[in-house]
Amino acid sequence: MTGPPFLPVAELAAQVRTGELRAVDVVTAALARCRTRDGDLHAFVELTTEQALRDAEAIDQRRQRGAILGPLAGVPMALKDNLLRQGMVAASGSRMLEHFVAPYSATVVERIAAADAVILGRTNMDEFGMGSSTEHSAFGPTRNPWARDCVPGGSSGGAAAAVAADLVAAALGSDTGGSVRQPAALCGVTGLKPTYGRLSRHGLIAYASSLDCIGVLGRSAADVAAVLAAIAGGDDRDATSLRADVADYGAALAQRTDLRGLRIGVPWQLNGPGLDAEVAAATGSAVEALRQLGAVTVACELKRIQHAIPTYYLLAAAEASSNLARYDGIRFGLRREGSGRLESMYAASRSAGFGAEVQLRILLGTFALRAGYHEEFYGRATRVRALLRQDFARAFADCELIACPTSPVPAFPLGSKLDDPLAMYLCDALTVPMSLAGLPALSLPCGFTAAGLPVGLQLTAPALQEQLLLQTAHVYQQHTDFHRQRPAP
Amino acid sequence: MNDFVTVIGLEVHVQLRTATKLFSPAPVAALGEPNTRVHAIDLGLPGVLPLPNAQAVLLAVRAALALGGEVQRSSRFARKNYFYPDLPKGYQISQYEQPFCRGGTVPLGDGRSCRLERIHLEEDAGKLIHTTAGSLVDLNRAGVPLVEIVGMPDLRRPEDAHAFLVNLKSILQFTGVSDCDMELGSLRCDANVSLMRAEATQFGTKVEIKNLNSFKMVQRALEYEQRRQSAVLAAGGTIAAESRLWNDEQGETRPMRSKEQAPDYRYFPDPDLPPLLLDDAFIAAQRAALGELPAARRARYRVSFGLPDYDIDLLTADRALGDYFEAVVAAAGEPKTASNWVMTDVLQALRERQLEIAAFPVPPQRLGELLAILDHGAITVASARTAFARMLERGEDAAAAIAALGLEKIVDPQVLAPLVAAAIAANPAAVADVKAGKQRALDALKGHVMRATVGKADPATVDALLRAQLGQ
Amino acid sequence: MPGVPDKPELELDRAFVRALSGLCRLHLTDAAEASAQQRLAAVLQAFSALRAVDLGQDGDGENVAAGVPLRPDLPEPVLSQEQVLANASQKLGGAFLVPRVIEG
Repeated sequence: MTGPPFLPVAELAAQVRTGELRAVDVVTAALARCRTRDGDLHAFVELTTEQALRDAEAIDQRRQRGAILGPLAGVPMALKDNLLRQGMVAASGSRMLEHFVAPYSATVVERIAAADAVILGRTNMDEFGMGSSTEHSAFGPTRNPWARDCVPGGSSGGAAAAVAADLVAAALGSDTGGSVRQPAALCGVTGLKPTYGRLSRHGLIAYASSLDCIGVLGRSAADVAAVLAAIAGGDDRDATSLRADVADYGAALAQRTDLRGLRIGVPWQLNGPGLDAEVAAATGSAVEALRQLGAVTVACELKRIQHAIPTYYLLAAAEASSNLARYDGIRFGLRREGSGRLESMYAASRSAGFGAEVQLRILLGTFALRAGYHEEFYGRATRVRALLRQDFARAFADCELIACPTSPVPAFPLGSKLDDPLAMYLCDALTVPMSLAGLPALSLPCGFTAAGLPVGLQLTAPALQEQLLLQTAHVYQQHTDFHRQRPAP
Repeated sequence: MNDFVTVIGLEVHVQLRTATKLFSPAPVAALGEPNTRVHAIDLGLPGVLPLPNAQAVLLAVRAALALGGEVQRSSRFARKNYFYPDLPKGYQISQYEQPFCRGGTVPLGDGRSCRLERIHLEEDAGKLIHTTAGSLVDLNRAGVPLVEIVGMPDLRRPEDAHAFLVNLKSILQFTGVSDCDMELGSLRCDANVSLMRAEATQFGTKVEIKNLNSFKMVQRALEYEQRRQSAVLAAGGTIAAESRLWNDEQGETRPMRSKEQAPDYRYFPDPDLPPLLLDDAFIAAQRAALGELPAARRARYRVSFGLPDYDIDLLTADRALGDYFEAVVAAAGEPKTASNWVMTDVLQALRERQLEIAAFPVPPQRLGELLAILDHGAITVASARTAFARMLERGEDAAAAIAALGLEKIVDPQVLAPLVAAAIAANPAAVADVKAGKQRALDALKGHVMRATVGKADPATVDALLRAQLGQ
Repeated sequence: MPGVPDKPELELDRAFVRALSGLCRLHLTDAAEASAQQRLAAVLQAFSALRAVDLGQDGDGENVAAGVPLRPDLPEPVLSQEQVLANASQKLGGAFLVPRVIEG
């Protein structure tokens, strides 16, 4: 099935701005699709239907009164469950925060609201961002719209599924080791992790502070660009946010009709035994298609890439063990009294509130920072991370983009990797290197397996070159229609 | 006790005089109801991020420069991880491997000093109040900016620890970095003390003493510990490495209930905060803004003004007061008179009106003018005080006040002679005393004339006239 | 795992896991503890190759182009006492309530 029920984001917003389309109608239709399809998929943890309709009404009324509406006017969007929205619950996929009502909104949420997008609700995720399948959500898994018995990927599985199933036009997720790109690949949508710091983390429930990035999921590079334009830029409320000027992503899309002269590096180290043959074939064809469009491919070397997974997991777990220490039931979150003594209360609350995977990562992270092991694990991982950054810098001396598969495997059956956590970690093998280096990377649909499961191609650019990623993906999407394919309803 | 050398190291936490907290824009002003000075950042809510305070960094750098420390061009904030109800994030943002200042010294007086190991920035925790219903957590104080000043174990006597604190306070108050008020909690001190044999090459086991609420308490506690430890060692025992609480009422330290031995804080650089970069221009600007430090000012006053120590101590305690005094001298010319007037009349007026010197209604130049007039002999001391009072009330300058009150000294014998005669006539008993040889009785007669002239009569002339009329 | 010179031999037994879980205030059931021990051991075994990486002469490699921005010392609105306590399940007299801490 091809063709989306939604217009492209920019066009949709334009028609709502002129009044050709009413925001209320767009949102009502989207909510109807949510009702019909999401019972099955469980992409959403919560649909805030009443509020969405109120917001849509308000937008239409403002337009009637002569106001100029924002660049995302009437666009139905979803937020991953770890993005705070004032007055609404944000649970980060966890029992710990199941009833936590946010007293403020995340910066990116304020910005899409200021752009007049309409938020339909919050999407399912692996608890606190820790997972690659959304099976570690405390609220039940999400199903892949392309194959109901398969995972949508994770941790932003709900967001990717919601976009793939046309429940929303676009979604905001978070990507720490691949959590936007990998589910985008498994669900056949376009997903962007910008440069670390390009999007403010103020109001994102933290997992690993030096790796967390908010990301955008949409049905095309053009849609992703439209959303990114509304939310990118420095923020005084995040000391790690980048103050660099925001590129004109829309203009960048229009700049190019082919890829003549574009040098694309293909890292030969990433072809290993873990890479699924059909994934290799589809991404190989995609790279060939890029060549047909004028790009020149060169072999590139990422010398220490095989150390990316342990480096990532040690650093992320260490930071997470510290970030999650605030969840003790005292000021917010789930609380259990235990035996009645303070230490018992801490342990009872945290053990009841956190799922098994989260607890394991806290243990791992605590270990990596433990006196006596600190230098050997955390210290070493920090230095290997620096080496990986250098590897990318060296590669980018000879090319402008790096291309590789996003995920080594297509969507896998629910439950199939739960007993083998190391196998689950390896799902991130191709995405964590970019996270460690803080580089922008985008996954775009580039084919299907024989069983009809989507495959994603990942493009990585040097820091702050999001416009090059979007531009290249856009050109590819002008000449292919993988991104226009839709799962059966 | 004679064989043992006492080794003391102090750790001092000082609150910086900022308007807002270290990582949040919540005000640090006087606390009222619990949890009314809490920003989302202080609460440790999901999704909040720390935002460092420029003024806290500025004052911290000034503290470092005033104490002769080496300010690092690049330093990092680090997370100190532990669980406690008054620590909202489950970690304190502090500095560990890369503090912003290394080294420094605190003078102890008479040319000796104590070295500092380091100074670093960190946020304060909240407060816990223990009741029968449980412990209550108030986060008003959570996030308040502190510098931790770590002294090296150079101190050898409890009184030196006292001197360390007094001088540290003087320097930090003088430079506007902190109020250093232990009673109000803007200065807190823990002391580490160990004993070693005189010939030993290694320090003994150290004990940490907490719950010290005044400088004198620090000294008392250290004196107690010194006695306690030497008794234990002399009897052949060993000192346990522990933390002990000072109980001032009982005059003793007691071991704290054992917590985790040497807790593992798992320090790592805070990933939410890029490095703190301080450039040469900024550091030079802070050094310039520091101006003259207390020790240098004391030396200068001794040399330039020849004032006694008592005067110097008082005048150099507060920078603004010293500046005022110097401006008075510049106008008046005579330092000792200026000093007396500033130490008594000015300070008293400030106390009565609950004012800081910066808000004092009489500019120093005007007081100086008044003192110059006094010095020339145109008015009496009593008249000067009367004029000063009017200058305070009405904002007039010295000449105007004197003229308005008609305070010019009366030196004309023709004017005074009849008044002297009247005083003699009114006090026959005093006259008899004078003639009998009691010179003190002259003062009573003089007083009569002064009262009659509202203090304006020149005492020397009155004295001469009295003696003449009494045939003395 | 092979020991590192001058470092304690890594004994990843149940006691070690229990000590770790105490440090991070988690209470694991017996089964969970056994599972955690296995998982941790497997993960660390898989990560042992990190030890062989030649770190070379390079330093931290941190990009220190921009230091941390500093905020002007101007007060901004804070949460009301009610807002501060809004998500807490146990409170008393305007404060958060926890089991009585035995200090000292």
